[in-house]
Amino acid sequence: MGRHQQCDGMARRDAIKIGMLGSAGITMSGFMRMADAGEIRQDAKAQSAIFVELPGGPSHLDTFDLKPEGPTEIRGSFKPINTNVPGIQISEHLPKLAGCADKYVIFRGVSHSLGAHPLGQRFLFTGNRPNPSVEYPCFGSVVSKELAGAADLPSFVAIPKSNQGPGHLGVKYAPLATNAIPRAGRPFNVRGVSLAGGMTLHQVEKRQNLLRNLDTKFNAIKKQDDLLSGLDRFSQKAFDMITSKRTREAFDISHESEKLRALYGEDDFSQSCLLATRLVESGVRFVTVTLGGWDTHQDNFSKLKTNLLPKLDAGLAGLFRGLAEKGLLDTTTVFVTGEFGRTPKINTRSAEGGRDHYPRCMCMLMGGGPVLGGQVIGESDESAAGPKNDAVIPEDVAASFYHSLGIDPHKEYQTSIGRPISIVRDGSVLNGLFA
Amino acid sequence: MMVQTRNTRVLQRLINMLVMVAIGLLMTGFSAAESPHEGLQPSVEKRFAKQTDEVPDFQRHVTPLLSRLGCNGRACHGSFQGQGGFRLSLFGYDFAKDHAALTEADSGRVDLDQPLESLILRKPTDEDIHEGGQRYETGSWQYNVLKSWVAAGAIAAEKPLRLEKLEVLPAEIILTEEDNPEQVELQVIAHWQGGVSEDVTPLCRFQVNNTAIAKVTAEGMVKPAEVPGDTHLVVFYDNAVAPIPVMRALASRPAGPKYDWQGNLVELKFAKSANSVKDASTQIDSLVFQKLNKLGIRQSAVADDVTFLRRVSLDISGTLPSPQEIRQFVADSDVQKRSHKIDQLLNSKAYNAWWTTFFCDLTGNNTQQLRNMGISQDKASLQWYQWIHDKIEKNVPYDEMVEGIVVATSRRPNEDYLAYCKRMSKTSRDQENDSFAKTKSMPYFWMRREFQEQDTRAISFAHAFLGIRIQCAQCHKHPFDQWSQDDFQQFSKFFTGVSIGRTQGGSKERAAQIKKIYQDLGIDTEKTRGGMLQRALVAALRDGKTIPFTELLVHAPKMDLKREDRVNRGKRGKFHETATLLGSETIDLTQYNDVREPLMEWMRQSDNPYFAQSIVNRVWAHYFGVGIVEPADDLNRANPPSNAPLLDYLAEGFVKNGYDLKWLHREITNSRTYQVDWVANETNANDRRNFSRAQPRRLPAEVVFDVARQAVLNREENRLYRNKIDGRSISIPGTNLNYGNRKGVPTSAFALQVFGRSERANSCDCDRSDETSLIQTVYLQNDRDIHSMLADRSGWVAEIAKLRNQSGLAESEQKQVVQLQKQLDRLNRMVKTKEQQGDSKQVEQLKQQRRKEAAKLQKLKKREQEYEQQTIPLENRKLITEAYLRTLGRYPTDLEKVECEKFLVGEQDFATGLRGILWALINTKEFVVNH
Repeated sequence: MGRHQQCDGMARRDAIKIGMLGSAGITMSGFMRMADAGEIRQDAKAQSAIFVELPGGPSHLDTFDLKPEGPTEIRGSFKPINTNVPGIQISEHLPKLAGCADKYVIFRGVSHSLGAHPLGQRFLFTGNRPNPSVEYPCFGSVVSKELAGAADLPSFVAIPKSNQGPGHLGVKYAPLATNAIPRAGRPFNVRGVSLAGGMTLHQVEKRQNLLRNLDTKFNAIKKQDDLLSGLDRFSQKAFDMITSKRTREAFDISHESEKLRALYGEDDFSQSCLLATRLVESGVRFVTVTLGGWDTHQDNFSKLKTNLLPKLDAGLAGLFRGLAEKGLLDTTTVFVTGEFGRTPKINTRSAEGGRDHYPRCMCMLMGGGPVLGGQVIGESDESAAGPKNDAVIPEDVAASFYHSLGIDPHKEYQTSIGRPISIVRDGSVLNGLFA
Repeated sequence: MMVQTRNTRVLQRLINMLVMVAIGLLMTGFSAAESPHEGLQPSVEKRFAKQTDEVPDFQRHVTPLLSRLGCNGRACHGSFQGQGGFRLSLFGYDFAKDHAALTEADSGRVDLDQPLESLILRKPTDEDIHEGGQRYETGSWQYNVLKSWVAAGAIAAEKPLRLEKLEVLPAEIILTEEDNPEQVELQVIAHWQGGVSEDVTPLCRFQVNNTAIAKVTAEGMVKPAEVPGDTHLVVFYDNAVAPIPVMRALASRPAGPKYDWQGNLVELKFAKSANSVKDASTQIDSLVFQKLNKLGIRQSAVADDVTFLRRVSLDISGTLPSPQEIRQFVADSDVQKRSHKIDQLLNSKAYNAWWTTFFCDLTGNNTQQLRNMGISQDKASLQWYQWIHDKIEKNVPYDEMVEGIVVATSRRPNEDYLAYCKRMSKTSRDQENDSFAKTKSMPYFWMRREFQEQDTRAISFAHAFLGIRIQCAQCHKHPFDQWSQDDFQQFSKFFTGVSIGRTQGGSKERAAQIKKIYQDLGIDTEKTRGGMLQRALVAALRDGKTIPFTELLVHAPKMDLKREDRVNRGKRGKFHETATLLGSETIDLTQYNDVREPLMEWMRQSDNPYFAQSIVNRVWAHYFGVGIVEPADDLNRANPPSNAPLLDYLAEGFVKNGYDLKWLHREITNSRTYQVDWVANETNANDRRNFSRAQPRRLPAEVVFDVARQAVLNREENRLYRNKIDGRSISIPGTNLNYGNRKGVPTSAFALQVFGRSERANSCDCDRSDETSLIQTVYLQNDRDIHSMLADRSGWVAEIAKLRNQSGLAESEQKQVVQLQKQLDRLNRMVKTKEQQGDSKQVEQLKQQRRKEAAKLQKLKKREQEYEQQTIPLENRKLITEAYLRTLGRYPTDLEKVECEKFLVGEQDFATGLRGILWALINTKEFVVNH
């Protein structure tokens, strides 16, 4: 793929204008599939989302917020390149993403103050600053609660697993972890998610029927008990999944056409992105994909250049392009973030230097759904040490993410003890992000 | 790296704290009777309301005030990056650093020449632009305190004064109902070393642990919030963290008007549910009742025999009771039968294995951490497991077991390196009865790869044996406890006296001996390296030769000079001379050859607040799903026990009984509180922390797999399961989940991952998961493991199906019996004849033939007999009962029997039907939770 080719292969077309629901952007078969699953809503927001976790904290200065004019102890060795959107530049090691910058928004100068991994992740992957008395749910758990999914599909899948849990929403909104990553071109199924042991569908149904009749012991207390009500919900869902052909095929990327597979790389991250695409197409509401290893205290540049950035580039560009190819980009919001940025000043602890935790300035990406791609929101100062003007705060991005899915970020939940908790505590939807 | 910890709960709280002062001695406050205080200084709020000549003190007034104002919080100047170039120590208590930052030359923060121009007066009043906004007003008491301090020369705190007590009044808060929101005003008195007492209420920070129950204002006014229940209010000042209980009882007003004729609110009536003392069968129950009575909660009824038996079997032995055992137990009329059962379980092999696993979790037996020990990492993990197993089996006192780990050495006294290697080589060949297990020392705890730095060792040690999360204090003052960074550093020095001696170098003598070992083995280490060397050593060991072993070396406490430079502490020198025990005395390390010894002595002291408490609390949490302190590995001032007298009683009893673990198990499991039902009454549906009913708990990963397997085993294997632990998941030694897998036996590795066996990686009890997930359910419903267990040809279903197909002897077999009988008669006659003829050779041949025929006949007759006196019930209903007993440990109801039978006859083939029933039972909630 050429550096400046658009990643959906639809050069010169204004991607933003493509396909609000019902137009050319969504294929008829795709529409039918989703309509079947009862998930087309009229307000034409995104229907599903893919959350790309980059745990470890990627360096903003070496990815999407370069400072070529900055002093040497800050700017590092990477050069910026032009993207297909005039005026936007990103790292030279992200050529494929440079070719589809019209598909996503870059947030720069995002700022917070939690410089430890677990805390930062809790904040960024839930949209709420950690609080001792509440365990906030991760995005996927909220989305699977808010948007009803298909009966025979998990509404929230984590590839291979997620760092964050359902918090106060309880275990029933936890993700189905695939626990494994598909390999390029190989058949893939999540262990247990297909009829095993020579069972026929009829037998399974009979057994399930018996189980329903027998599993009544805790009926009196199960509503108040997170553990018991979670088990109940899982029991029904597991059955629906096991017996569904659609589910089996949703996980099997080897069913995907060669043309589509070629859009992605062959490594784990790309294959996870391919699976995420396929799952969303089948009707899964929320998929979490993870690319770790960003904690580059040492040898920042060689780690990024030889490993992390090529993977991120191939997988993420593949994701945008694959979604577009399938006509799903307009109904799928993609949100990409780590837990913080990294220190502008390059440390000298290793020969080539590294960068340390730096929550005061970081960057994020968001694309798809109603997001107006091809723009930068927010700006960092000249040394990328903090926001230049008003900071973009993680809460605002989180609120916007929910908004793109038609979920009111200020909606309140009641915890088990009747305490009201809003989905995002302190955020508001960002101006200019949506059309 | 700002905070190195995965202790997310603590951290999560930590962030939220804008202001933090901390601690001192913990005190739950005095009784009101001890007040009023003679010579009590009124608060600064009063003293500094107007101009005064008094000079405030940096430690007692200025620093706490900055904390109260939020200045040293995480989001403000307490940030490690500082804020606006000004950085205070996070959560305070680093007086030197804070004073230096405040008075930094040319910073303008403190201006001694023109006090009123000081930025610490101009910024917080927003006279100069302050990003943090206005914190107080010009001329307020806060302003006056800071102004007076600057005007008098901004004097530092020379040496921190010791805060002896922080007294909170009232010492306990009982809140009334929400519709009568009576506020309680707190008063906090600091008692300083030297006898000064001062009202410090306006300098404290307040926090309620569960804000659904009560709320507190910044000024210390407490009022009820949404729901009844109990929690703690925590007061922070200086280095003190003082919790006081806050309770709001479940209560109701009698029907009728809310106000009486005089206009007074009608008094609340507690649910008439107080627990009666006569129901308390043990001291545990009395103490639990005392608390429940305060809250108006009545404990549930005692669980029936079958519920008790299943619960206690799973908890103590990770095994289900067999159907036979359940029948016997129910039929037993001995009033002491529960207690006898507990004793029997405590003497089972499965108890030994399951509780060995418990202590392997606790001490971190992680196979990946044990590379390069001389033997394989699996073998090292196995030795660790077997060592603990030996102690559990013999019920060695807990303190002795811990001592064997804490002051462990590799070599025995006066043993040289060569002798050590010889012994270890011999020991490691000893497959069956590992003599390593019998030794006193288990040094692997200190030899784990990622636990070589003094800080990680201190953190791991504190987690395992003290149940505290000291890691917060690695980088800053602990937000919920008294620990300062200095406390942490002083403590971590105890962990500098041991290091790993690899199989090279060392003293001259050691190096020479290593050389000799390699020579004798004929291995040239220049040529044979890495994997090749490993293989050569394994082969040599197997051939009965001596190979070199890694060892734990004990030496004087080495100073990490770079580190000492960095933190600018301690005298320059090679070795540490002193170290300080947490919250206790400073030890002269030069008096010890092994500086871990004073740690062990300290843990054994009767006033040690952690050692016994932490283990007692963890064992309690094992039985109840929730600790008396919860999370069970987070003993800290701000997280007090839900029932302090109960924890004290158990800890004291445990020590008094010689750290006898079985005493503890018996004490807990014999209580009514443990044996209570999970069924809620009208008062306790929402209770999660006061032990008024049993909480359903998901079975631990190992137990899920093992009991699913047990449920489908044939009758004999099912019955013996508790005492045959070979191949059980509860006896996997390290973290290699595939360890000991044998062909044909289903492996539990996948199940253990899915259900979250402890990772033993992070010095956190949360390494083990008790959550549920969709994939766990998918596993039980449809995984190949479960299907293959059910299809097992030697399993129960196959066994029963076979028996059902044979109704006594087949027709041809009956004919055979007649034939054989005739044949034997003939042989008997022939033998007699030949004997008379004296043909001994023939006699022998005939007798042999007779024996053969007799055996055949015997076999057939036995089968016929067995069938006639049928002891194995084969009727559908009886089999259904059997299926219930082997999975859910109880008898089915009539309705359940009907459902199952309907299903069974509806299936074409009996075996498939019975498998279907077992499948359904394994997939009930009842199966996968302990209740």
